[in-house]
Amino acid sequence: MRHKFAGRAAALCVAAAMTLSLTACSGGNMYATSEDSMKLSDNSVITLGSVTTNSGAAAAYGEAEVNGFKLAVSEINASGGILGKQIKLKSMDDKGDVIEASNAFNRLAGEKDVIGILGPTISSTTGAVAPLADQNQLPSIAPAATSDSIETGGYLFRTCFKDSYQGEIAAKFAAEDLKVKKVAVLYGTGDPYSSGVGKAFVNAAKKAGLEVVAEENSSSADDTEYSSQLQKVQAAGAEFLYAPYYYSAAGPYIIPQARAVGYNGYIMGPDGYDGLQITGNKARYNKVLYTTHYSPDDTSNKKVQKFITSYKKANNGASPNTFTALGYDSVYMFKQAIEKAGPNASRADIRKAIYGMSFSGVTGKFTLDSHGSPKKSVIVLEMKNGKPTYRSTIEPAK
Amino acid sequence: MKKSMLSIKQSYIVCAIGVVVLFGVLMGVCETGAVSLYVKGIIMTCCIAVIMTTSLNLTIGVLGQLTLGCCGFEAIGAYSAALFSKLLVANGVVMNDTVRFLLVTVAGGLVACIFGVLIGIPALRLHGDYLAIITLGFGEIIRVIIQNLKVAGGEGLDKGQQGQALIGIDRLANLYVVFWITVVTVVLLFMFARSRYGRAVKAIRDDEIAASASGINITYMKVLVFAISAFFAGIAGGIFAQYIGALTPSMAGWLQSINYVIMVVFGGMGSLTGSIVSAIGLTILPELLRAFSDYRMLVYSVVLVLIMIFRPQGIFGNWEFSLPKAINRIFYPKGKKGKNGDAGKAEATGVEETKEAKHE
Repeated sequence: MRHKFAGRAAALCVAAAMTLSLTACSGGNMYATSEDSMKLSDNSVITLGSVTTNSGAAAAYGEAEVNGFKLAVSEINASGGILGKQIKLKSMDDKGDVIEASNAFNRLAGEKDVIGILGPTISSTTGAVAPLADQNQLPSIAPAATSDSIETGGYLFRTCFKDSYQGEIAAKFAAEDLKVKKVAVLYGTGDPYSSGVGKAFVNAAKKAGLEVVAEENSSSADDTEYSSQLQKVQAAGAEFLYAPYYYSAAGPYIIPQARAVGYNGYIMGPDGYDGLQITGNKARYNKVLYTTHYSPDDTSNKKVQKFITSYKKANNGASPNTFTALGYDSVYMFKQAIEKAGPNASRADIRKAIYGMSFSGVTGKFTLDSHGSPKKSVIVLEMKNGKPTYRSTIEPAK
Repeated sequence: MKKSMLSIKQSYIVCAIGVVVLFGVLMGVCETGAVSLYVKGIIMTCCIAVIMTTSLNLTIGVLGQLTLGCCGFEAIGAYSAALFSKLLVANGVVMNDTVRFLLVTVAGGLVACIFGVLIGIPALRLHGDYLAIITLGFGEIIRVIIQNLKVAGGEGLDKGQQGQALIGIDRLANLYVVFWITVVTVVLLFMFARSRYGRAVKAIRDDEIAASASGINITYMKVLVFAISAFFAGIAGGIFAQYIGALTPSMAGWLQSINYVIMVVFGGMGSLTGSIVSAIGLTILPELLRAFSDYRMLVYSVVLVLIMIFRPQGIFGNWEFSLPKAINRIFYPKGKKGKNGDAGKAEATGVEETKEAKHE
């Protein structure tokens, strides 16, 4: 009897605890409680957190961003800080993993002196952090996450243009600058970046009055064989091919294969062409263009040369890349917003100041739209003798 | 003998009390606000890792088949749960958040389980390296399929965009509920491993031909284990989806799976205690090491290498922790140790969660 009772008691005990947990106990919720964040005036320094990918496959991007943050922070501090206060940077690594990114973000959000977040680096981690930013009411600026789907219109902003915007700009460039009539597009359906940019291009091209003579696909963005699709492009009489891929597929495969099937027209790509791998005859890469965020040869923007000089000085002569430039601009966006929000600003006030702001930096002049993405000028680079050279800056459509 | 030790029923009570006490501690720190969202996030992550690792241990440790596709099942569970949750909302089905969470999580587990059976039947005809490669390929197939599904991207369902991350999933995961799901998972897996079925599975691991000669239906057993493993991986995926709120197909990739295999091997193949400890340990370790920032991943790797050199069988080998056994040791030190061990094993059901809760 006692044994039976004991067993029942054990079961009852556990069941009771389970039920208890299922009833309304707020402690188990994974939402941030609405606690008062510190105001700027509560601290003697301004703390910015950063969540970036400093290890794993995308580590190079995150490292470059952090270098940009550091340069901007040291510049600002050297010239007297923001509203007379020095800036402190708290950097966290997320390994490119969504869980690590959430953990790092939650940790920074829990530290009340953190007034804003720089990052995350890549689109997947940014997608995971976006709802957390809204819930924690912590303004965040992602320097280089380009995916369309991360937009919330809340507390997450970005410094880079989004994927579909590049496709639109490329269509505009083809119509107005190159003055071509017949265009073709080739993209990888399985890759969010490639298909997103490619489809946006098709829509924009039709609107701009261009004739899309061929719309070809590959199954992924890292195939190595594109000859059959390129033959169709050639046969359709295209003068301009838009091929949104990464540097690793475009350089060694798409461009040489396109020339091999006799296609001699323009080939254009998005910012994934940054660091294009050149193989064989360099002349094959002429008439290859791509859109990007920043060019060291950009003479129209005076901030660029100043940025490059001070970066080289601080990093033993190393050259900054696009991610460094975007990271650098992100810090200055916070500076501008905090100055506007004033010395008593809370996190929410700073978010208000960032929302819809107009900014002019190394990566161009822009205004943030209602989703937190910039409508900004885009740099077009053209390959000449195997080297990307600055061609023009396209201003956003008004 | 009986008098000097806890009886089986008493040991159940001890275990139940242990779990409830630890839950009380968890609830205490959460309700009083003593822990931040950051710490709660880590506990949540630990629970997901525990479910994944213990379920994977059933296949790797108990059945002795190396699979590298567990995250494929996790992804199936995650996407199914997320889409089902969206479907319920889209059709205007109103229900309590907790009920919806449980419902869609279990649905995710069931879908993963169905795929587990479908894939298990052909795949489990192979052994060792070949099975590992087949499951590796399977994970990649899942990844590519999800990437190309229109319903599984963007806002999902009819508003879906092919090739985008799935976003806007309701974040319904509640730490208390997830804690109990973890407890139930561990208890069920433990009971399975100790049951008649579990012993048959172990027989297959040790000698397939002998097991077959003894009348064990090998294919059935293997597929059963595979399906159970997939079910719980799907549950973990469902929780993951409703905790993170955004999914990308890369979660099905083999690199993620390897991570869980490391946890299983690290803790000891065949030891659920080991799986729990290593899942929690290896989840917390990178967070603890944040202070070292740049050297973080280096330290993590060095720890893995050292453990494998000095304890190739994993931290716990195939030893299991048992709370009643520990109590017997403390309060009845004169008890015959030889028989103590056997009795402890029999009584250990339900003790696992105690261990895991303790670490939380």
